[in-house]
Amino acid sequence: MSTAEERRATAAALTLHTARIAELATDLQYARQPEVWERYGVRGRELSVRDMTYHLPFLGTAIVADEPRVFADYVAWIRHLFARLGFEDPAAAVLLACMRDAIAEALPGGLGAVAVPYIEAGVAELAAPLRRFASFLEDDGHPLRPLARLYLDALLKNDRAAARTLVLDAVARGVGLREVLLRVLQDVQREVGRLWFSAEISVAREHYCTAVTQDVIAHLYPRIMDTPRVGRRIVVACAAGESHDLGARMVADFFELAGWDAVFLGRDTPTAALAEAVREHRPDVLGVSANMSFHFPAVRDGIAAARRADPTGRLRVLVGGYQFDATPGLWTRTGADGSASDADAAVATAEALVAAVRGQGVAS
Amino acid sequence: MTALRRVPPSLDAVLRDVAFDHLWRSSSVLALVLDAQGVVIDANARAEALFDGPVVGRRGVDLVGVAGAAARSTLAHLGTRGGAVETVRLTFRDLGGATLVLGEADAGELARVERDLAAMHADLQNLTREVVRKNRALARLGELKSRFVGMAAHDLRKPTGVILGYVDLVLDGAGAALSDDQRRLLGAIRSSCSFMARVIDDFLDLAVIEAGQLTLHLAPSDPGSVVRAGARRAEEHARRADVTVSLDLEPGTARRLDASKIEQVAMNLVGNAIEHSPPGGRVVVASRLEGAAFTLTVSDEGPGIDPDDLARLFRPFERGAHGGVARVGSFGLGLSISKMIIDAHGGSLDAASGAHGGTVFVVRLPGAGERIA
Ligand code: B12
Ligand SMILES: Nc1ncnc2c1ncn2[C@@H]1O[C@H](COP(=O)(O)OP(=O)(O)O)[C@@H](O)[C@H]1O
Ligand SMILES: [Mg+2]
Repeated sequence: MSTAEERRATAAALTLHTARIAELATDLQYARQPEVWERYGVRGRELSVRDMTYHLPFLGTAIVADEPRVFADYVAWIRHLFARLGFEDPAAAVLLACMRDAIAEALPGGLGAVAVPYIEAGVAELAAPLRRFASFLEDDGHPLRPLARLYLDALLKNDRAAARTLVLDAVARGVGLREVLLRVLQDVQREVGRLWFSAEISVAREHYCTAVTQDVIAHLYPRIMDTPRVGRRIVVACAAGESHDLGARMVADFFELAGWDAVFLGRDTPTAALAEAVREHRPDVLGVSANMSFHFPAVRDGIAAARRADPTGRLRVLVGGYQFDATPGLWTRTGADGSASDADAAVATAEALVAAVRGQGVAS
Repeated sequence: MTALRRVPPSLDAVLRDVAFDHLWRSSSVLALVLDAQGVVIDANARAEALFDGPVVGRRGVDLVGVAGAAARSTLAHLGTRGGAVETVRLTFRDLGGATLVLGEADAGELARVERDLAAMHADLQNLTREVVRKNRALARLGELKSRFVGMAAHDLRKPTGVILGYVDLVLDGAGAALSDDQRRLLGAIRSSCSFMARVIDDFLDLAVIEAGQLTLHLAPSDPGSVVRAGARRAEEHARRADVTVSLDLEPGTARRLDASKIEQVAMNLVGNAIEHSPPGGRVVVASRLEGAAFTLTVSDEGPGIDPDDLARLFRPFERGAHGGVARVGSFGLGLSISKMIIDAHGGSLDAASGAHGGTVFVVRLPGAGERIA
């Protein structure tokens, strides 16, 4: 077992030496499995090095958070991606071994050993059954599933007018805003992510879907912002570096729907700006969002800075986003008071937190 | 011919064949072959799709907008009917007696632009959210303010009435026992207090109207006599200001209106006219029936109103400059309240000034059954 101090130092060293580790590991890969890698040529090698620099931050987060599952979940995702690209699990296993050996060589003072159990969690994942990344729109009997499918169809056909009309009409007919936001817009966005990840749609198409969904939500704002006030305030922000802002904004919107005053700071909020917002708005609750595991350190640092900016000690902090959904319990390593996997649960958790005595964590 | 350095010579021919086949049948790269006169003699599937039909026989310059001789490589904007305009980089390759025109989009540039546009769109949506949120907050504040003003005015009205009542009682009942000085002081209390009562009434009216709660108590009345009652309430004011008020009221037909509100309007207009008249001046209050419509005019010989100020003065708390000095006791509410009352009746309130001063306020009320609900 490593100490928190060692883990911190290891993660920091990983960040510092990423480029060197990526080069070393790729060299090892090519040496050990020339038959797999040689055929990709010079460009292929460049891509291997680049991919290695993507993998390492996930390992870094697993280490600082002392949460091996973070890396295992990432490997499960990568494995899916690899399968699509025609790489077999053995290639992934070699890749992880090369990563481990490169880290051992590059990190000073035996810090490489600290990383080993986390990499092993990834290796173990390769032996587990392939995880299924099921469609988010599978028929689960929910009455809004058909609407969600029609909405996605319209997006894939470039028909933003039809997409918008579908949603606005449903709301006009009396379908609940929360239901539409979660069961149509959120689930379709998640499905769009799955389609992108499965190489069934382009990045451009994902951008289009996201933009239309943002636009539809903007058209719902006059309704969303129409709830009588309850006298509570939340500030919601994406952690530094994080550019997924739609989920975080939806969280803010659900607080407006619940009568809270919900200030939304948008994507990529620097730590200093987060602290400043806490000083300026004096919220009851701060919500920090980050989808990507490699933003875990930014989440943790942001929360620490926000707490320093709150002399009353009454500020409650929530975290959320893809990484916290993918790895339950990860939120407890951020310094937050609670977490939630969607906007509805976020409001319930926040309300429980502000009602409860300080210091008690609540998750839902 | 470019040497294929890594491919063994045995594969050379088949590679060229397959690569060409791809270019000709499925690639997104545009390819046209032009003869020496610049006419298309062959083209790939992409070209036919982009230009919407057979292109052989057409002139290359008509299709891509540039002739090969002018440039070896240039950007061109190619549009299809009803489609988006695509920018491609055209390259002209000499085939010896013929020219191969290739056109391809810069995917890297497109991806960078897409990414930045998407980020900007997200930020803009966040700004939209902020605008809607702040608008709502402002609207809530506005409501709060109206409610506050309404409550304050409502609570002040009663004690003011009590003071006025007792001052009158003392002045009337204990008349003989009072010294002239005491009588004068009580008179001052009385006039300050009735001014306060008027201001309070105005604030209350405004609060009610802004809360959207102005309700008219409509009953058939003769507008002429209602106006007369209003003008009479300004008599004392006219006497003190040394202004003559002449009434020229045509008897009208009864129509449904809120008599006390219309009386208030008449009093406001006549009061303003007196206030802005020179000593010895004359105010004319006239009413006419034009068809079914009732028209009231209130004219004075005062300084007039600058046309630039006119529209503004009908809004709450807007007052004229009066040579830079705002008059004591002027809140700028009378005209706005009057206008809202007339609007609620479906009528109109306007004003006009002559070049040499003097102002006419004109009230029009629609005829019976026209628009009065
Ligand atoms: C749209 C999108 C983007 C857009 C985002 C645009 C924008 N303005 O938001 C862009 C193009 C920027 C993007 C970039 C990337 N993306 Co992306 N993206 C998505 C996608 C398809 C949809 C996100 C979305 O709109 N969801 C809809 C919202 C409403 O749902 P939600 O995000 O789940 O949010 C809910 C909860 O998480 C929770 N919640 C969220 N925040 C908070 C905060 C608090 C306090 C609480 C309590 C709760 C909470 O409540 C929300 C509402 O109910 C997701 C797919 C997915 N599953 O989400 C991938 C996804 C998140 N992206 C992914 C990836 C890999 C990337 C990139 C690394 C790709 C790349 N190579 O560039 C980059 C990283 C960018 C960065 N540095 O942050 C992966 C992540 C996989 C992983 N293992 O980590 C995903 C999961 C796609 C996939 N299936 O593989 N992406
Ligand atoms: N008859 C008039 N002649 C000149 N100016 C006038 C006349 N009536 C109104 N005004 C101008 O319009 C302004 C607004 O009038 P009003 O709403 O009644 O408020 P107030 O009388 O309290 O100032 C006045 O301050 C004055 O400048
Ligand atoms: Mg006035």
